[in-house]
Amino acid sequence: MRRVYFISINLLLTTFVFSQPTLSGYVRDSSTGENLIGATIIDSSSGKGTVTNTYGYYSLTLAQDSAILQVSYVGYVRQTLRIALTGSQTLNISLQPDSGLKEVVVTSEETLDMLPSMSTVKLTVEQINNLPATMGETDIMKAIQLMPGISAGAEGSANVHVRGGGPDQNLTLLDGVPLYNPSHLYGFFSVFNPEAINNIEVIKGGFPARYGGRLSSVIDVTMKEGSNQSFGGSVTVGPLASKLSLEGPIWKDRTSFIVSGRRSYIGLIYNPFERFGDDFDIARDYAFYDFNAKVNHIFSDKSRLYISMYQGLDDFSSSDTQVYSPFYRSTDASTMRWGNGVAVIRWNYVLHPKVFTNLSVSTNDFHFRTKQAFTTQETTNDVTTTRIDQMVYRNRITDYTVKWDADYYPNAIHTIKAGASAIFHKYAPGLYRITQEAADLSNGGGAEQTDAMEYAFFVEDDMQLHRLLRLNVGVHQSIFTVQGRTYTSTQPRISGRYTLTKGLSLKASFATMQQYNHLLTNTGVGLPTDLWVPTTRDVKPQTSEQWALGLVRATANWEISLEGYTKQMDGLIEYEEGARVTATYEPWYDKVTDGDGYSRGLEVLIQRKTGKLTGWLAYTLSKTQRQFDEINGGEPFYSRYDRRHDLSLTGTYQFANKWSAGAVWIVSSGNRATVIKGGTRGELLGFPYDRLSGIIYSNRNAFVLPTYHRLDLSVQWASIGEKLGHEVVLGVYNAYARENAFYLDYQRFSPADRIVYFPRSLLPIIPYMNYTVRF
Amino acid sequence: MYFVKLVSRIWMVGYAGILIFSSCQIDPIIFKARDFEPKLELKCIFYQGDTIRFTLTRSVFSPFGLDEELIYIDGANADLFEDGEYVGSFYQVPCNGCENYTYDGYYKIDHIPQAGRSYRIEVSVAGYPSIQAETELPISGVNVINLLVNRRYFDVQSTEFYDLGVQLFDELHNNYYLMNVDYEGIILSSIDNDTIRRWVYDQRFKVSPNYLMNNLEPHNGSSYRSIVFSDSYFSNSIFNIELKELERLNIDLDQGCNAENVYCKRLFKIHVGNITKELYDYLYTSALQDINYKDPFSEPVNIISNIENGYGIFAGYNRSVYPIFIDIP
Repeated sequence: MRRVYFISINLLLTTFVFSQPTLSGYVRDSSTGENLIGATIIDSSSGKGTVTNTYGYYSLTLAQDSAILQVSYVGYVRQTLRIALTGSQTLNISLQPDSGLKEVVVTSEETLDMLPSMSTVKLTVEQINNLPATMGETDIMKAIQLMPGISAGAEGSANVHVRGGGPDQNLTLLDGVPLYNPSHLYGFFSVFNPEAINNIEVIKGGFPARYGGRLSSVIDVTMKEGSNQSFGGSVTVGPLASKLSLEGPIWKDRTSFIVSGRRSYIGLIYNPFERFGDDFDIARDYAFYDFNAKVNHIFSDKSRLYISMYQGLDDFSSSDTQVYSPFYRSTDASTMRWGNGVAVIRWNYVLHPKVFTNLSVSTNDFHFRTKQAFTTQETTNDVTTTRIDQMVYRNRITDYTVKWDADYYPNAIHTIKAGASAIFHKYAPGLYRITQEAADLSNGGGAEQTDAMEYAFFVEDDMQLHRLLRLNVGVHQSIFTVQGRTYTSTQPRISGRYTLTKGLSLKASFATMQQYNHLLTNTGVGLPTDLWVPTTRDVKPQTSEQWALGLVRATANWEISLEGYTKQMDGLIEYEEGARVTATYEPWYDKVTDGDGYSRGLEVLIQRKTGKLTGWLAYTLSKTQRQFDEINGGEPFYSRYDRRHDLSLTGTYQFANKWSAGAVWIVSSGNRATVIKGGTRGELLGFPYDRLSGIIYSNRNAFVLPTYHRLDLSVQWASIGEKLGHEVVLGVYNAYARENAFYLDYQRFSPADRIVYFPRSLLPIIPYMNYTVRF
Repeated sequence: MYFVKLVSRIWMVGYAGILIFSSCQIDPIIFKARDFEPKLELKCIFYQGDTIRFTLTRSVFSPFGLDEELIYIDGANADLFEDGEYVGSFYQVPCNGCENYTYDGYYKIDHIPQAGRSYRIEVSVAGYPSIQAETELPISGVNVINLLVNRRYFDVQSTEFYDLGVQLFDELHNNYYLMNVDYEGIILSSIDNDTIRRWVYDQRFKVSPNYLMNNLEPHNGSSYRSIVFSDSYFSNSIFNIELKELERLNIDLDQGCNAENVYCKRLFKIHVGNITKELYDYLYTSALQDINYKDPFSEPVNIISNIENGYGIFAGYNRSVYPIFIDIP
């Protein structure tokens, strides 16, 4: 009887649930056919709504006969649709771009409840393009650094540090595939070419269960798909690099492509410094490039295939030749090459109007190689002998991933996501080979290649439990096997928003994360020599636990948010004291020690979203410390990424249809450094091997460099014609030429009564001009 | 009125500009000596069969400021304890021929330390925090069981190199070692020891980690003169180490050595013995400071000292000496 009762209830619920009409489909750009991610669809009559997923798909089940749908998306004209709900139906919606006012954000009162979740930042490419650029290169990561809770590691760096976390603790995704080193030119630029980017979302806390593998943030970047309506493109010429982007239909309405490339010509700057003489020759060259390509094909409303790839490379070379005599010369040459490669195939299939699935297979690779060679040529009795001493060092990480996930929309209250993935990791963290022909010597070593398997499963439910209460609850389960050892982690996640009054919400979240990769770095700059290493038999994974609480007041024109967080991290690894990063013969696990840390902070964001003047003020008050038993005598010390105060003021003003201006002013506490506070010079009798001089350092990172502040300005002129559009940007980086301290240079022979440090800056005032033509 | 407002607005903008631009250049950061509190520095390594001596100075404000006088501390009270019992007090070493003068900051005690015993020193000087340190003279368990000349070769500049092989044995565990190699010159039957000593040039060798054959890297505890390592590199109580690229410089190969001389060899001496962990940490971090100072990508490290409330080292070293004679072809 109980069994009958149970089955009956289920059938009733199923019938009830599945008998309600479901609207589903895609929301697209009417001119290009690009899917719009995060577009909101709200039924005005019931107040129920949803947002499109990463592929522009939505599903909304309504228990009524008709609906008045309000469909809106940033930068597009809102559309209102009256629909008769006679049954489930597919409804693809096209939105028209808002081509007139260039308002950066358009948000209606009704969509305020659909605003991004806790600790989430959404940026549009247009917002980023309106900001002044570093050395003329618009950079997504630099724009992200202007948000509260996010800072750069050092002057000019594209690395991001989120809520006191390290640069390795950010899950940077390009079309769902992690990138390990998302920067060029020693961290000054990110690998993201804005011309190829569709959507950017940054999550700093309250992580949904579908994300895992990093402690501090998710930076989810989605590439454009390419217009399936008409051909188009752009060419941009800047002071350091040029970009070309082409997109268009291969088969109209069905198949489209986009290719985008960027190449620098920084080597041209080096050329004036090349010196040639009778007895010496010096040459330097550097270049980087990015290449993005994507093809997508629509089989039907149910089935779509995407193939995308990214390839980027940095290449540096240097050569010094000395000619001692007609019979003897030497050449000291070095090359450094590093880059990322990503390839992914994704297949979307709508199993049922309420069930959207995605299957993807991908590979991503980061590699770094440096080679130093000392060559001598000696001629004796007309016989020339060449000897080469060289060292080659390389590190590499490669992943092969299979991932499946599904979005299930049973009704307007729940959006359930579930999925699984398997990743095969191959780590080669630091291998070297040295050959010396004179000594007939060749040897190699370093850390052996390590393979690991990582599995992940997740399920999450986003619930509108009540018109005032929204919850996202989920769990992320991960398993990592390496060197015969298995690590498992069950990570609960919960975040919620309670609407106090219209436009005023209280938000809270809790999330645990586990990370199996570590990035060993000691400069905060983002050098390619930073080493990605795995969790091993002896090196544990990193874990974190983060709580956050916030208040948000949002209107159509303004958003004001106040958010506090506390984050505890364990299993952190750092180079031990005295470790030599460049000592390539030592495997990395012999140079590290583990410990823990915490970060606490308060973030304020005041954002004006509409009107001629838009922008935001972001302020963060935070404290980040670490504690390692073998560092700093076991005493807690400030993290290199600790910034007590961090303020960004960003503004864009639209003068008229063609002219606009942008400004960014940043003020933050200076970097941290370890300084000399004394020395020893006593003699050790009877032991001739002792060094006479010793240095007494302060506690690690105890000293704060002078305050960092900088003003960037830009002016943009844009003209859109029938066939061609032109944009000219004039700007200046560091407009008042502030010499922000990049590092401290110790004056070795200073007067006896003082220790003198000279703060050295890196980037002076840099004017630039960019020209873009669009067709 | 309008004019006043205009002038005041221009003045405010100009003043703001002056404030902003005046902060553009960053002044040097200066730490003043008046904020510096010096501490005593004691340096002492003692050996079996020899008296214990130490130097006493104070830490300096500027480690490389050559015009800052190094202050030796005289008149200190220093007591020695062996296995917890008072042995005696140190005295300042008199200067031979200096009548009433003593060597600056140089102290000695006429007591021969014994292997296996612990020692504590307590030093007090007016105006400075008192210091003390504890250590022991370890029992030497390590033996050199094999010495080999693996290779002799010349580079393009005709500099002579040797690679030596040393096999160590120590059945004890949790030990630390110090090793250094001295070149003693050419041994000839007709040449006396004074001549040999004159031929001892700048003693240099490199246990250069770049060239170690066995991938086991002992911690290079000295910049270029000696090494310290632990028994983590031992396998079944045995450790094979190659001392590569022992470089000889400025030796006249023909001087005093000919085919008629039957005893014509190069003499290397290997000193090896057990040390305490305090000395191991001291020498290791001291060498790291030296190596890393010029490396902008290295982590700063403080020299580990076992002197409480001070700096320096107080440690024992139980060493043995092993000669290697190398035929000169």
